[in-house]
Amino acid sequence: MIRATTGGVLRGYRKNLMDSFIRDNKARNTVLTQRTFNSYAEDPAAAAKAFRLRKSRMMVNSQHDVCQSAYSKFQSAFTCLDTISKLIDTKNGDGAGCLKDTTLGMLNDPKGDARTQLSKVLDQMSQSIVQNLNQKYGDDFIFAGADGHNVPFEVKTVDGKDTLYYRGVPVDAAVPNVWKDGDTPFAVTKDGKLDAAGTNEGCYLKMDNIKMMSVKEYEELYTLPDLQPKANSDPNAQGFEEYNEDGTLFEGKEGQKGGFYLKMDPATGNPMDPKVEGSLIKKDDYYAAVERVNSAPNRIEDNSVPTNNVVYVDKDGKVLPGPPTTDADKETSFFMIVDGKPSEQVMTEKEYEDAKCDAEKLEYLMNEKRFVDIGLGFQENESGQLIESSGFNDALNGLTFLGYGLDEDGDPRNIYSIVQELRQIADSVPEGEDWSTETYDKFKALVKKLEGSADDFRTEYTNMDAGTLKLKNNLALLEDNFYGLQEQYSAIEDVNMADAISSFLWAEYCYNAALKVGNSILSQTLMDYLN
Amino acid sequence: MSTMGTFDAFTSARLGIYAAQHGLRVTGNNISNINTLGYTRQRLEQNSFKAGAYDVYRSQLDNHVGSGALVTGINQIRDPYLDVRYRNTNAATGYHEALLNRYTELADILDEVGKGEDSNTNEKGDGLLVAQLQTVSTALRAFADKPTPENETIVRNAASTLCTLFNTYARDLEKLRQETEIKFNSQVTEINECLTNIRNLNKEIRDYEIFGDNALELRDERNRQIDKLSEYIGIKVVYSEEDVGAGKMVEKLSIYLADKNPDGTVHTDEALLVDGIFGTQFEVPESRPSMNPYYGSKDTALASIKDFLYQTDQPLEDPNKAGNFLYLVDDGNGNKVVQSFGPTDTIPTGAEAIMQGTNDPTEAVQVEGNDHYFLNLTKLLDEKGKEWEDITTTLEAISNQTIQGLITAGPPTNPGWAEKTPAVPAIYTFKFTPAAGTTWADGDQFVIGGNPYTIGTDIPAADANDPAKMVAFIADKMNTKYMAQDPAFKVEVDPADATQLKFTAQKAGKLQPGDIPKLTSIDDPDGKLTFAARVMVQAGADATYTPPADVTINDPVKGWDVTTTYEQINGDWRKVVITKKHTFETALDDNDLYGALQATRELLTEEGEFTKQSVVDTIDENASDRRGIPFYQKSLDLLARQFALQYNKLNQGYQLNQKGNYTNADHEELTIGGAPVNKYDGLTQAQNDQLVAEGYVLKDKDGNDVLDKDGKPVADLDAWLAEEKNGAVKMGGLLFSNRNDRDSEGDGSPEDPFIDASNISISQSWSNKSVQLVPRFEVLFGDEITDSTQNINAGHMVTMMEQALIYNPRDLVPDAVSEQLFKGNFNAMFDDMSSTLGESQRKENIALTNSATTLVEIDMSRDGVSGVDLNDEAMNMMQFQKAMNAAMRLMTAVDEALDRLINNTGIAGR
Repeated sequence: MIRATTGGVLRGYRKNLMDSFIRDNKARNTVLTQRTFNSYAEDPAAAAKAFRLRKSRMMVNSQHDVCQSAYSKFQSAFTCLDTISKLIDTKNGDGAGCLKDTTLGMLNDPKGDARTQLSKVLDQMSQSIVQNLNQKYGDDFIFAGADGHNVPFEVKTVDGKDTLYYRGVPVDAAVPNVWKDGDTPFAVTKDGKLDAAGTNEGCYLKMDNIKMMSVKEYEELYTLPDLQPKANSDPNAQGFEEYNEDGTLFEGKEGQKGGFYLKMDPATGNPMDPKVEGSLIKKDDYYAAVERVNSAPNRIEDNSVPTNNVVYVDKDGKVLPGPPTTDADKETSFFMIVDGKPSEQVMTEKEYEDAKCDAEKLEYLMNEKRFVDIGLGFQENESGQLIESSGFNDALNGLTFLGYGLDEDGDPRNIYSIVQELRQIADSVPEGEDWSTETYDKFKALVKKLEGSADDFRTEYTNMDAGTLKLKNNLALLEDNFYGLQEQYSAIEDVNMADAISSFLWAEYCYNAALKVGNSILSQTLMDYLN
Repeated sequence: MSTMGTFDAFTSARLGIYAAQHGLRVTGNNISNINTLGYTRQRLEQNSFKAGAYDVYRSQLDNHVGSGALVTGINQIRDPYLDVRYRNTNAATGYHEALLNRYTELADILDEVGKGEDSNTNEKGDGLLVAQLQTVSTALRAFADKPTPENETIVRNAASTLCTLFNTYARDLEKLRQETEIKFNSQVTEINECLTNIRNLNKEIRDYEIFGDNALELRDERNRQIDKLSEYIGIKVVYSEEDVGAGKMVEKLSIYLADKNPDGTVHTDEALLVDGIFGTQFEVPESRPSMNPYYGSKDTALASIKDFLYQTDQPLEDPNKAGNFLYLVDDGNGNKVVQSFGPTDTIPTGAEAIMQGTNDPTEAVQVEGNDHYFLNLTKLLDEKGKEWEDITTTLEAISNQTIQGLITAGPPTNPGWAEKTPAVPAIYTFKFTPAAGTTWADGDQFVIGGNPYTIGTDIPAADANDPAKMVAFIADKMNTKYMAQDPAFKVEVDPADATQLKFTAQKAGKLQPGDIPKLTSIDDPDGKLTFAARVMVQAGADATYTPPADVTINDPVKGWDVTTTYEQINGDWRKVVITKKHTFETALDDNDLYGALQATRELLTEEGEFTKQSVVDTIDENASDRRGIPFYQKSLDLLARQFALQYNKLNQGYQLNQKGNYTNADHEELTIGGAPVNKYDGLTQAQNDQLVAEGYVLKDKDGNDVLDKDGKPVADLDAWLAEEKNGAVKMGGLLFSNRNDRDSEGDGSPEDPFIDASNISISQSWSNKSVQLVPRFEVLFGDEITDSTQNINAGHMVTMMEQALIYNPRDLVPDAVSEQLFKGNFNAMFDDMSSTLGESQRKENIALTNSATTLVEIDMSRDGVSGVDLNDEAMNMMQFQKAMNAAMRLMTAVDEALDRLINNTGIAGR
């Protein structure tokens, strides 16, 4: 600058004074707002980060609410299951009456003195279990899966038997085991014959009492050998030549015991050599075979001809085109043997479909899930389905604990149903009478299955405990996150007051100094010294 | 010793007093104006005065003494370089300040730092819109946890508040845009006032200057106006001399735009704003000329053809082949190349005709509306409305021969000359008068036409001594000479007199003096070659011509009118070319300006990623990187629209069974090609092909088929489901609408606009609860099993809040330059908007601080030269006071001395 003029110096002073005042004001605002920045422009990166952290904190807060809700529900569920556990087994309880003790008492009461009373106790306990599973948390039923607004368990009397229903589906529902070609049931007639003629009577064959027997085995069991007919006798007379054990013809002479018949050679149609081993058959054995053949079990037939058109199947029950021709084929071809009348094995198509549908419903309900966001990510995959590991399944299904469906013996797995079966068996024995062995064995077997189901209950009970613990831990984690996030954005946004106050004091000092300088600029010029 | 006037010293004293008095007045004026804005320090100019000349009595011993001081003028002190720097920096400061001010106002709306309640600590800071988005998220999470009507009400209320926030922000942004528009118009008005003031001041200063006054105060005011103008627009100030006649030159001030357009081929950024007493005005036209996209400097393919031009409605003819026109054709690699096609050529599909360009906006195709706030400059006019003109004239002599040649050549060489009267030949005779008694003898020599001839060799002596034959010989030789000079000339023996030469200038018209024939005898002492004096038989006259009609050619590119006329001056023809330069209305390019006005324009127009491709092609190649208020408006619109559409989509669907297959009202699975259709697995290839065959093809927004990775059309399952005949059961409905009293996402018409931030609302059906949030679309086993708290779809709604979505500007502006503004969730999108604004604000703040600091420094420097300083003036005051005192003292001293001389000298002894 060549010259420093009054106006120029004043203009520069004005600008610097303004800058000083702006800095002073900014420092004052920092102290007043206690924030390191008051707009994105001051620190865009920090502002963006702070907002992200704040948003995360708000999200964690709401996830905490959801998690807390799930945790409380699971705690309530835990209480209910604890009660049920005690009802099932004193192992977890206080030794009061429980299913296990009661059933054991019944098993150890062969005379049946208290059987009726114990049966009623069983019933009450099973009802109590169901009531516990119908408990509510808030407005929602705890063990209703994804149907919290409706009572999940209901007992209906069907055919005089108390049947437990879960959300309208019988808990013992299972797909009936019928005669199938792969997945397709074979249509049969009402009298249990394969519907080869296509009469479409809408029936299927239950496989519960049907056994498979190879053709070879069947023939061995139920076929009579051809024997040498009696020679030189009255052609109208019937009978077989009788032989002695040593292969000589029995002629009724002294010392001859007889008692054997000679088999015919199937290849030649002529009598076999009686001296050859195996060519003779004892008369008693023969007549025993006759007796067996006469009482041979029923085989499944088809209705292509009126009678006696037996069906050959493979080991999977698939119908073969005709009888086997070789011995080897006879080992791989089977008859379907019915213990009783085939017509008793028939079920209608509707019965089958209903049972199948119930089983499918039950299967669906057992796999039903309801995910909530408790801070595990809660994301969807590309097809818009939730990634299950990112959510928490808070659907509690009562059947998970009580069991459902039928086992391989056709017995229920559900504790309530088993108890009802036990009750029914117990009640079937007239009061005061002893158990029959069969009844007792059946009761005993069911008691064992009850114990199995009780074990399953305890497993699921423990699993749920683990789930509750997971929620509890997650709650703690969310709380940590919440405060952690709060600290993080505070660290970004909040000022260090010592720094802020120091800066403010310094800015104010500078401003005051600037004002003082202004006073000297305005006051002194040469004019003041002119005389 | 020289002579000396008795009262000389009085003059010196008087001039000294006079000068000192002026100095005091100047000092006083400076002190008085110390606070006058724009005042420039004035300074007295004085010279030493020397009177008289050398007189006849002057002695070499004489020492000439000056006669005092003369005040020659009062001047200002300015540094033009500092003025230029100040004005350039002032434009930059104005630009950054205007941007920063508006960004700050934008931030007042969009920047949520420190706003909103902190839900936990009761301190502010969670933001408003950001927090409300999160509130919706929280409500949805609660709804997903328990899909009850109570929780749905909470979601609806949160969503309604969110809509209101969007509406408020959009309204505030629009208000800011309107205020900025008002600001823009007021800036244009202020600029025009400045330009008018400067023009008028130029006139006044010129008038003063003609009469010898420097008009310093008017110059100060003019400088102040120029400084003010420089804040709004970048300018270049040029001082020059102007001839006002009578040899008087005065200063002329011109102001140009500062050549700030980064595109070097554009020259409208150098437009003349003020030229002396003429000035222009800025206008915001209702319509604007359409730019020719193929003439922009960015298009290298055509860079060699033309400069930046407007588009006409005529195709461009191939400069290398008449009758062909130029087209832009795809070369197969995605590049466009220029190709020429004739009338019979097959023009490839998709080829675009290149339209002609013009610099004259009045000839250009006009685009209605001015959403880019383009500016025009009017013609340069003086106070009385007279147009600026600059006329130059050139004269070019054109001879009759040239004219005759043009006539002979005919069109198109002949511009229109015609012969009015033919030329008359000139005829002269020369009588052969050999001296009597003289004869030629063999061997004698003589010279004719510069060539020597010998008697007996070139001509027999007898012939030479025969006057008629000698004349014939001479005529032949002279004819050869003149014919060589001009074929129209002919020399012959006069048919009327065999001893006389006859010269004829056939069709030559009036002879030039140098062409008039003459005969001079050389070395002819005895007079054998003597000719009598030349006799003019006929003087000869030129042909007369009718000149071509006057032709005026308008050059709109340069703004010139060139008139060609022919004038006969003193009998000679002159080609007179009058070039009249004038100004015309100029349409400014998008980037021609720099300063506060341009900043305001950019704030009003720049749309960043939403910029149309056509704007980038024809208006501003950098537009996609500039973000004004419309960018933020559209970004907010896109966010609101995305939010509404995504949740509307989630809340609409078709009934499914437990497997996720679509079912009809009887809960039977819908089938395509015999197979069920699963929502989550999508269509099988066979199902896709079947739907495509039935015409259900997915289209993009331009109506084209959407293709899969193998290039096959993709089926439109939604369209198929929407067909009532196919039996799908629709569930749910719109949650958000473009008005609260209807259910509509809009069709883009004025009556039914698309959902945006300004109109987003809760739909009427959701408001009156005829539509509810759909927690699930699954109906289990024909509704035989209920799942009252199932939340599959509600879960989708929760995850949507965190889903990374692509924000595509083309959803709002179909031909936007960018396909992706941002990818992220709703919060992140708003965060990105705020960050972008924050970064812009920060950048402009830094730029403004820098330029403002520089401006103050330059201003101080300028003040250092031109400003008034009290110390300075105090010194001057003392100096002039002392000088005045001294001059007065001198006068007293001289007075006393003369008194002594006159009254008291020579009285000794009296």
